[in-house]
Amino acid sequence: MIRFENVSKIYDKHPALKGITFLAGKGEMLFITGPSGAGKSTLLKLIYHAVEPDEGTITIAGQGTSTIRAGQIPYLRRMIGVVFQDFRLLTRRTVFENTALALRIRGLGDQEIKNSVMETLKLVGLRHKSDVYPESLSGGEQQRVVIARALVAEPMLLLADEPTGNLDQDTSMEILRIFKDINARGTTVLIATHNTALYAGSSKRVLRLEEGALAREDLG
Amino acid sequence: MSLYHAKSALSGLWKEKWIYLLSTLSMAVGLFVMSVGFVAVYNMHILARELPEKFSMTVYLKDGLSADDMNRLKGAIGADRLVSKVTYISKDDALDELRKSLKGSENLLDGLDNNPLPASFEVKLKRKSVEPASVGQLAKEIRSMQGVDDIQYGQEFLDQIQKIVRIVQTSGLTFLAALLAGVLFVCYTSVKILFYRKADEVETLKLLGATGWFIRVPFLLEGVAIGVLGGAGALAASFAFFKVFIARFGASMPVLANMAVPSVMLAALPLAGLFIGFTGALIALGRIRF
Repeated sequence: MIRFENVSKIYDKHPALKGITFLAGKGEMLFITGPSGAGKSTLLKLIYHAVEPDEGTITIAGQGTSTIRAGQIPYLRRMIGVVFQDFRLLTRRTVFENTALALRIRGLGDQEIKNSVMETLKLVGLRHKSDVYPESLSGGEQQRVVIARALVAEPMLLLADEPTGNLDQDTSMEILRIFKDINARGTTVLIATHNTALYAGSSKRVLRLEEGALAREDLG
Repeated sequence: MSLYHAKSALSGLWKEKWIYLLSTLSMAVGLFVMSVGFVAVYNMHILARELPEKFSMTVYLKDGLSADDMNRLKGAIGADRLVSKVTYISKDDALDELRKSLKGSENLLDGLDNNPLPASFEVKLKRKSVEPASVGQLAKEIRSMQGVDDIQYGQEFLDQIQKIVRIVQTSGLTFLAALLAGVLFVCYTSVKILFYRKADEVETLKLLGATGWFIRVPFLLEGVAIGVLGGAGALAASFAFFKVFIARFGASMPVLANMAVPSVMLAALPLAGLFIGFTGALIALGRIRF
């Protein structure tokens, strides 16, 4: 599903990633860990083509991202659901509309959108808050809206960037449960986190980044 | 385009209503001034086209032409596409005419042994079918015909009018083009500002997989709305202006009373607004970078 071959990324002469090579199979759940500034977010951004690599090649579902035409980028991104670290919720739209965005851009009809959104909001436990604006929600609830938006279109690949960053332990575990459910349905899940509790004892692969380089690979 | 885009555009219009109101008013003022300029250029064009009918040419003939020569000449002049009527005025008719014009002093002509006045053709031009420049060309052609001694028409006057018309039309069209660019710029900057104000939303849409057109459509609709509303405002202002203007000054200035206000073209102002709004928005959005 994801193939990185000797990928490097440099921001203003400072290397963010150095010669990263790894493979994530279809339906796998994988953790990327490491201290702040290790390059976890950059690695995810490279996957959804928010930034381009300076060296190396990245292949997502058989599609090389360095050779992709600009017009194809939206379609690559539609294969991927992203839980952004900074949420990226639209404050002037309700929980329903924020979640529905991922389907609207795919041109689905209103009824289909309504059914899928309500089902996904139920999955993340926010069905009763569909008409609420994000500002009225707690951090954990906002996080769950972002997860709902990432999942609603049933992507092949789910990326989560520090999905439990500011959440308490119980909420974090609740969110991890959602990811595991999604993964059990066949979606490849890649989680960037420095929360060891998320992967400890999970028996999933954990890639550790240090100063932009792949330091080691373990099983959680 | 979907209902979502229409709703998104309407919601955008409402949330940024003051920016849109200012843009629409600027657009309306620009289009209104354009419509006044357009009516001025349009009337100049009509004036230029109708000028020739106000003139008749007098073609003086050489003495001693036979009836056949006369008829051939008359036929040749009458065959020109610009000419509507050719009337022959004999030497005697010309003298009678002169005698009438000297009413009370007819005895001035008593001492003449023979009639010194030449025979002539009075040439009338077709209505709305000739440009002033063509009249000069026609005069040149007639003058070169065999049997023609001289030709007289308001050449200097026509030349002057032609110059004035050309200046007014050129400056009018330049003025209209400058205004068009200005109105286009109003729309361009409005949409650009609104695009920047929604930069976060646009970025999120891009990261979710929205295509360039999905992102553009609400902004294009907003640009079109500014254009159409601005055009409608300009239409209302133009009708009010011309009605008041002509009613107030028409009596003292006959030129204004006869001024043509092309209603169909004015009614197209909202359509022009639509086109300008769409184009301005399209330029403002440019290429969406992913």
